[in-house]
Amino acid sequence: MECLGSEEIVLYVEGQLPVATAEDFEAHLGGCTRCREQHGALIETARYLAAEPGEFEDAGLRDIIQRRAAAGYEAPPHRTIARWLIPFAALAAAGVVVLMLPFQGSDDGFVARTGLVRDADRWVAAKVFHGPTEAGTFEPVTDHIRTADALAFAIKNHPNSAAAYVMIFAVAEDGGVDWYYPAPEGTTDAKSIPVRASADYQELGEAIQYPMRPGMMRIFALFSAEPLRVSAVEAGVARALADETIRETDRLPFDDIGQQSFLVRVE
Amino acid sequence: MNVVTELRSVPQPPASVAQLPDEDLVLLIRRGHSAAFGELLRRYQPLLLGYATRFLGDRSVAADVTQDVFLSFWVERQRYRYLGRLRAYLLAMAFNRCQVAARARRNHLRKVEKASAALPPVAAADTPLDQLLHAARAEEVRQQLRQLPVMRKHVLILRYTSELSLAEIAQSTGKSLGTIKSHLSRGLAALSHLLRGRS
Repeated sequence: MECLGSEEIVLYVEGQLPVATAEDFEAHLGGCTRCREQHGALIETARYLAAEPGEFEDAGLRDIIQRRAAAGYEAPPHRTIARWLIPFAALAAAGVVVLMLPFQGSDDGFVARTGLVRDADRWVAAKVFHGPTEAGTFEPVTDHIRTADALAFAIKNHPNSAAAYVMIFAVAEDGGVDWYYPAPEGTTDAKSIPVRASADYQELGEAIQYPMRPGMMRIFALFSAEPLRVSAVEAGVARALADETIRETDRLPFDDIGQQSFLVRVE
Repeated sequence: MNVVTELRSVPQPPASVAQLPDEDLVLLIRRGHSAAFGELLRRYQPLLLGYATRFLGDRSVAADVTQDVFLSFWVERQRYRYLGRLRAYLLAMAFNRCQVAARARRNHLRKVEKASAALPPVAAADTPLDQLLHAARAEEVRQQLRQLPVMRKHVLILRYTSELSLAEIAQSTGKSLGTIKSHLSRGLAALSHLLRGRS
């Protein structure tokens, strides 16, 4: 058997290699200094991450917490859902996808999940619509669109938001990016478009059509205090997709940027 | 006679809350039972403090995060429904707050122009050399850990500090097992490589 890479050796240590491969590698280890050294280094590294016995026991901290709880600790007040969100809650219940986060603490909900406390997300939202029907109406996108669909957008940039710019783009499964806002400008590295603060939704112009490929696609809306460059955002997309698929990447690796995303199936 | 019964009866205050499973503990906490809350702290405070300390690299800030998690849980206890994932729920809360604390700390350090890479002081001269080396290597590993991408850092801490299984990590994060394995193998390999490159 040939040497395994470090990542595969980690999986071996974790008991996650196929049994036959693990057995072959175990036999290989006996005669390969390089793999033994790598194996040893990985185990040693993991040991340094482990907690020492009793390292994090802190009776004093527990006592403080219990006394504060007993004294009637009050958390900072959660904001209640604003009245204007109620129609959207009804839309969401009907299966319509609305790109928004509730304006309340991120720990709401009764199951364990990793919803991040994303301060920059709290005051922004976006909605996606199919292009106009024959009657001239715009229907909200649910979970799928057609390859020839035009898409229209509305965004909300609440006065409490620190954002002044927005970008909207779609990322396909193969990592290809279609830019809705800003519009592509040939070889120019375009920037986010300015957006004013308002408690109301703002429509972003007419529907835009790109020839889309069948498969999964994720639409992102990025809200920032300073304009972002298309090249920087596309680099961030590439970084994110190096680790995960577009189904898993619901957030791009940018700090202090209000982000909204949702996954849609292109048919 | 109409008899009204609850589907699940509230247990009487036990002789010892330490013997209660998490589910019953939460049931009592929801009703304001302070001893049950104390038992929750005893069970999970080291887990959360350990996670936050590895994530943030600052035990004092980690203690604040830990305090915030438990007090928020206490305040919101009426809303919590036990679904077999209490540990994962608490760790998810800790992850949220660590993200915020890390950002705030970065901004604060930039403002005061403080050397954030300050090394911890060397121990007393009579400390055995092997102990000094062990402590130095451990600190090096943990510093490098904090430079990793967030999800890789999160998975490594959950696995090797919090000692969650891969399946538990997948449950806690909502990611697939394959994704967790990928983060773990890449993260640990990268960390090990960084350390070997510096030694």
